[in-house]
Amino acid sequence: MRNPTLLLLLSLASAPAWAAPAEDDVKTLEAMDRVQAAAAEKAAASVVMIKVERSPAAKRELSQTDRLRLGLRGYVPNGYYARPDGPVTGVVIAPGLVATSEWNLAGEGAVEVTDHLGRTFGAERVGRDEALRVALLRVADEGALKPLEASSQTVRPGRSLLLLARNELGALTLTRGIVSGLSRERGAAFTHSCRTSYGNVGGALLDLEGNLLGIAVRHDDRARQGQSSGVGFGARLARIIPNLELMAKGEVIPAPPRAFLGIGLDQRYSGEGVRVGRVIEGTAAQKVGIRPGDVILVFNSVKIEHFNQLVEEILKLAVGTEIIVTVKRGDEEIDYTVQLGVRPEDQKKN
Amino acid sequence: MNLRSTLSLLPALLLTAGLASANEELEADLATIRARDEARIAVIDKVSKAFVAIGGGSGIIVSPDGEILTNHHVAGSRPPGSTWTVVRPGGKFQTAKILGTDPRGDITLLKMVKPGPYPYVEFGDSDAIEIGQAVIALGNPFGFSKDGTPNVTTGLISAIHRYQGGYSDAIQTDTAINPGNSGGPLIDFKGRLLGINGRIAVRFGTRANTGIGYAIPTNQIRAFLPHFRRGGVVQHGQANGLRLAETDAGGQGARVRSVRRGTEPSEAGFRPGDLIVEAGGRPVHNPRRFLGIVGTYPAGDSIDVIVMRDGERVTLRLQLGDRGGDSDSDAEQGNGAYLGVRLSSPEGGGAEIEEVVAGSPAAKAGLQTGDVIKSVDGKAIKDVPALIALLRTCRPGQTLTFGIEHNDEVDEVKVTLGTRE
Repeated sequence: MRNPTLLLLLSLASAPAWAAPAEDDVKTLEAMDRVQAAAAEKAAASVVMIKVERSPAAKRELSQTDRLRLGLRGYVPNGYYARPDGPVTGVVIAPGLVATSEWNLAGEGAVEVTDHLGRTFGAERVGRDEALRVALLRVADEGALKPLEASSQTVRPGRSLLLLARNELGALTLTRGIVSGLSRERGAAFTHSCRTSYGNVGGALLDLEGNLLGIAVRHDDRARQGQSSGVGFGARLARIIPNLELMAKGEVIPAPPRAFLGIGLDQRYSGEGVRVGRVIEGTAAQKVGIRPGDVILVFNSVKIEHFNQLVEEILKLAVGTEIIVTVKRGDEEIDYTVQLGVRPEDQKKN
Repeated sequence: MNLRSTLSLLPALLLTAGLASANEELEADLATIRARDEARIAVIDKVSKAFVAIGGGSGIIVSPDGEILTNHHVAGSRPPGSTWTVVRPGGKFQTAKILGTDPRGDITLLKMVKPGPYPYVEFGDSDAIEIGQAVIALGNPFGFSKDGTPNVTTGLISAIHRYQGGYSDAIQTDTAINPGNSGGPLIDFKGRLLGINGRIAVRFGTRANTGIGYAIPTNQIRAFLPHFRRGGVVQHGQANGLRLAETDAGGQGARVRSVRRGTEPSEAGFRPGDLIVEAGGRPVHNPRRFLGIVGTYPAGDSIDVIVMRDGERVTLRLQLGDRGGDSDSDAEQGNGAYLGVRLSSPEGGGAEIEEVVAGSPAAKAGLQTGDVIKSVDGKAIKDVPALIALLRTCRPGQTLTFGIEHNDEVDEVKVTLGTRE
């Protein structure tokens, strides 16, 4: 007969050095695997591959100005920043309508859409939302593609997200993350941690049930996709839908113009507040009489300590908002009531 | 209904039953995962309230009276006693004053000028963390947040006790950490602070997350807090005069090679041949880990070190000395040639790279933190001053061959020096 004590000792001796994971933890991990697979399967028919004939302009080399802005030194492959060749992803959000990241459709060339069954359809660019960076494609056969169901969940930091897309072979790709931050890009985007690439931007940001929360979009060169930084942008479906009809008619929904005060910084100054270096002709600052040499102490009840802070305060406000700016001129403090204007580059656009 | 029609319905009934049970299983799975999501959301909600954006980086409130931790490389450009405007969630601007700073360990402590109470994050035990444990990082990567709300990412503890020069006991994580995350917290799923994120491994000028981020552990920060509160610049401790054998004694400890007379280790009773097996209550497997542990204490602190001597464990009380200004940058000298590293002199000779400036010639050549430069163009490098003296004679555009050692591996790296801007 076997000696139970000996058996116990032997089993203890051969036990692994690590502690076995709790059964509940393993079950949770397995549950996550099943939930992800089910969500991907449910949404698969509505996630399409898009091929775009790229024009040379879409593949332009980075200019020296771009390189300086991005802080690049030496040789960095252009592909990190410009839209490279290769298929991209889109999501069927209404009958005959495919939404994707505006950046994906760079150029003027022809567009075609391939669905989960490998069927290819010609598509035309219709409208886009410049604030959300979402563009819309129309496929002639309205009944051919199945729209994805909208999620009823709210977008909150910490909520699980799945990013479903198609690769260059038309096969599904899935990355997982969470909602990272809200109210980015002046409220137009949220950030998420699903790893993004040139192929999956434009893809579907899904909740755990496989319903659509938003579209993965590109907003900023610094959230790199060539080497995914883990900071990606999403456009909320709830923000896309209100303008969907207009976009489907081919309209471009303009980004709201940014507010502008109209001063340049005097960088030599290091005292209290921010000293005005120049006042731009025709701007809100010039209209009320702010002059070079004035020191801005308070802006809209906020004590100003550095230029970036002042810019942030301005960008929080809508064009046309009236605020009080307190400036120091010599020994005198003056309160000006200023109605904010439009940033010059936004003026041209709108 | 006759038997035949009942039988013909059976497959359909079975299929329905199968679908129903699959649906039930999926519903149960969803309930499990949703519960986990809600728990994570609740933790993130709570800790986010203690977040601050500061300068080009991040910070975290760690006490009800408004003490804030961040990186020295975020806030340390201003001297202790000066102030920063920090942004709290919701876009509230507040003034915080620098109390103390640790340039080598890359930590600065500030305190809100306005009295509290503030929402804060409690300290966790960074020695109790495990590889594979899930963690949360808060920060402001790339400055995308304009209202003081953090960007939240999650990931795992990838490694612990990583020796990275000034980050001598770093926590490694795959949580997405990017420029702007610096100074932000690494938090466990109970909402406790495990470390302050400060570095990412990058190469060839690509300043974005690669899946390797480093945090300074809270237990190290805890040892520095009383010094920070007294104000000023805090120095790291070092076992001056204690030379260790370069070999790792088969993972058994750190072998003492020599002890200089009149130094703290000599007074503590260290002898050549001692095998250091424990320091500050933590096991020592190799010389690097000993240096790593010592690096988590401020100068002047005393730690118990256990050595094996003649088969017996002997406890020695070692007071740590000052490192002295041993961390040199190559940027402040020369005739215009630029490498882009911060250096220190390791016990075994050569010049150890503590930090590589992003985008610098050193970064482009692929030099990394922890590389020890042993030779340049075949000429042995004794210490940091020797390397700096040599670089001073070089010109921009000149290509040098560095003999480097990293984790017992020997390699040659060609570096083309740049122009200092």
